[in-house]
Parts: sequence; C-alpha cells; structure tokens
Amino acid sequence: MKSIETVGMLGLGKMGCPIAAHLVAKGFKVVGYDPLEEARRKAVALGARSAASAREAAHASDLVIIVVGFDSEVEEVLFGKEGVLEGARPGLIVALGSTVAPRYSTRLAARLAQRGLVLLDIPLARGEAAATAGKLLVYGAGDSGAFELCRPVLGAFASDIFHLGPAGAGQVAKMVNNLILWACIAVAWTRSGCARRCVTAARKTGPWTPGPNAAACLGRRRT
Amino acid sequence: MDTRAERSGMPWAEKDMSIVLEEADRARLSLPLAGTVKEAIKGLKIRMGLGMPEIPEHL
Repeated sequence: MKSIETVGMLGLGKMGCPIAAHLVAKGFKVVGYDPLEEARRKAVALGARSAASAREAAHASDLVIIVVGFDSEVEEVLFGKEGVLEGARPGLIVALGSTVAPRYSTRLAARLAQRGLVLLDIPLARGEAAATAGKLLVYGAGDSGAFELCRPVLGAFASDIFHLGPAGAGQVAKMVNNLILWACIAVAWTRSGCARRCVTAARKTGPWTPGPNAAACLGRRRT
Repeated sequence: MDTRAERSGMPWAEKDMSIVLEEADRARLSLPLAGTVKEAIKGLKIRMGLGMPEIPEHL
C-alpha cells in the first residue's frame, strides 16, 4: 500500500463524527459505521458514506479508525458478527483511537497480527472541542512503517502526533495523561470547596466584597 | 466548578482510573494518591448527581 485513500470510521459519536468530517475535508474517502442510525445520517450529511456494518466499512477501507467507548465494544466491532475481521482485506491497518488498558492493546496487536492485520495505538487526547477544531493529540504506537503511512490521515484531525513505540506504548502515555487530568480535576474540586468554606467563614467576621476574579476562584458556574 | 469535564458528565473517569490502578497492581506498584484521586472523582460525581458506571447484575 503506497498511501491511504479510504478510511473506515467505526464509531460516529462525539469524537468519531468530527474526525470523519475533517477526513472528508482533507480529501479522504470515508466509510462510516455506527449502530445508531442517527449518527450514520449525520456522518453522511458531512460527506461520508454510510456502511451497514463494521464488516462492510472494513472491506472498503485501507485503514479503519475505531473510536468506541470500551474494550468490550472494541471486541464486538472487531471480532463480533459482521465485524471487521469478516470483511478485512489482508494488511488492513486498524487504528485504535479508544482508551483501553495497555496490556489489552498489546495482546490485541498480537491477535490481529495472527489474522494478517496491523494494529496501531492512537488514543486521542484533548476531548470533543479539539476533535471539532481538528487539534487532537495522538499518542501513537505500533509498527512504525504503518504509522508513517497513516500520518497524513492523522494530520487531518490532529495537530500533535507522536509515535512512542510498539503497540501498547500509546496507551501507556494516555494512561499517564488521564492520571494527571483526573488528579487536576480532583484538586480543582477540592480547591473550590475550600474557597467556598473560607468565604463563608470570612463573611461571619465582617463585610466581604468579592473581587473581579472571585467567581473563578470559587468555581462558580458561568451562566 | 465549570469545567469541560463537568459539562460532559465525566463518563470516562472510573474507566480511566481503573486502568491506572489495574496496571499498577500488575506492575506491583503502590499508587496511594491514584486511589485517592479515583475516590475523589467518584465523590465529585455523586455530589453533582452525575451518572455512575453500571454494575453488572451478577455482582
């Protein structure tokens, strides 16, 4: 394979749909599948072709990108009835955009290799807003030749793309990213509660006028 | 608090932190602060009335 022309998008939700839109905008043929008809309709409106199954999408594609929520869904879309393995051509590249355990990804790479398929880790960071803006961060891993072949595809929806090592390495990086993310959120929550209590205590001792940045410090909702 | 995570309902919090803790178990690593973060996030979700992960019937 000299270049990727057709990309199968498996999962057309909050991440998959904007990614499909960016791929279409960059001139790739996109074949999308999602169990939800509404999601498929939305992707078609953006210029993608709708497939009736993951099998059909895989059969038409040089690369499939999986963006589903959990590893159980990854199993279903790959190995289930009408799944990728039923339609994949030899050498198909499977890029896993979902966040899964690194150990699962490593094992999955070996399982797919037995069937002649190549797995790339491409867990995606920065969330829906970045997906819409085409500025995702890709923690990539897997066969470096396949990864470089796919780099122009990834560049359609990501502004920062890293290749970190063999399959599983990308998921390790995403795992660390998530640990830091949730730690920051936990700290921010604790900070808000602490600030509210301090303000309550301060008001008991006398008049207190909030400054211009008080709302942010107290973590109040914007209206 | 008004964060992107809050508005999204934080559906991946438990999964993300479970992956961290399970990988730490396998690597024989003690990550007490990661355990604290997992429970702190759970407390945050409970306080905000956000959904919790579904627990299988057989458990």
